[in-house]
Amino acid sequence: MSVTDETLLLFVDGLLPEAEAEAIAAALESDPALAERAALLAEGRDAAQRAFADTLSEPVPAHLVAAAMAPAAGNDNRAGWRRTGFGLLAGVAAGFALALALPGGEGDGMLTPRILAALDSRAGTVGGGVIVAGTHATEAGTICRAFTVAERAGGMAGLACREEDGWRLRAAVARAGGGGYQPASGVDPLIGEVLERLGAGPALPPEQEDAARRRGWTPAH
Amino acid sequence: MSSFQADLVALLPRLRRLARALTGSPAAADDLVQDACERALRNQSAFEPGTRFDAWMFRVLRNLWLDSHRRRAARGGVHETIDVAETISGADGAEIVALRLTVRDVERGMLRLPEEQREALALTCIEEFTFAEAAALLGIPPGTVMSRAARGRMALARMLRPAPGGDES
Repeated sequence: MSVTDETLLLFVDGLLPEAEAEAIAAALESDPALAERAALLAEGRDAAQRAFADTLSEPVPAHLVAAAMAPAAGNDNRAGWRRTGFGLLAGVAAGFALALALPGGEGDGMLTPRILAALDSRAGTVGGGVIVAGTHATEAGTICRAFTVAERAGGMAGLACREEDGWRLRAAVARAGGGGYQPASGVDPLIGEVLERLGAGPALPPEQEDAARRRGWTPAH
Repeated sequence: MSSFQADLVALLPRLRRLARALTGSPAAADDLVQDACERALRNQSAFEPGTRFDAWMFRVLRNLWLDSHRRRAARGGVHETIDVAETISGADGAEIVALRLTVRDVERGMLRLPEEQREALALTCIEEFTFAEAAALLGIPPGTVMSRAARGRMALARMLRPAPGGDES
């Protein structure tokens, strides 16, 4: 019985109609060369599937997330977050912690008007689900503020630092889950790691935070 | 972030997997994914809403991969990917023996396949597109995808089998 590669492929993948599949199965019994081709087809498929199975759960590097979120020229992408991407972004969190330098301010499209409004006010709930968790001064004196955004389908934690021309997003961590983003206690661990790399100290006490706000978030010295 | 960008971010893990299967190298794969994201964002008006975003995006990535592959070939590096694979094999050969069939073995095997077999295999086995879907994505007849995938699978399996005792047919 002469069986084409295409037919044998469908047989091995379980895609042949029953009658045809039975005929092939019978032919395999008496045709070692045919059985060998079928075995190779299955082995090749299984090897490829197994080899790449773990790739999906690897954290996606931050620069790729930034590339995918970069605003296209001429588009105004500040309209706000869409929830579509959040579920899968949870697995991306580890990579996101390295988003220290989002190139050319490309991550700034993520700083929506309500986040920007929250960044300029006192710590605490501002409305719109944005909470400023703490204000920190880096080694260089730059003021950075950690914040969280609650979304029904998850949420995000972010760190914005004040540059001369405004707030720059330095890191962002997305979280999936029902009931909105719940910071366990204080700052998200990944945001904490980024703060550490920036040489930032612990959260400023309220009076120093107030002073920084009155200075327009410029360095103290 | 627009819904296009959100969809793109959500697709990143699968784009990386496909790129890994095509390039055989994590670093080259991530470069390819980054280029694909940039091209997709520039050309997002070409995407027709209501059609499959993953297929559209995979096509962007695959076309970029083919372009760069052909550019390298035109510069005289026709067997570049295979050379790279063999160099890697020499460098960590000892570990490979111990680990038996590793991810690297499969990646290396994939690199030895002709590119049309590699992409047919990557789309239908790894990304689990149906033969018809992969055919539409590649713009070729389903029968062609099937025969390429079949030849690729058999060749890969032969490469991964333990060295024969001299009775190879």
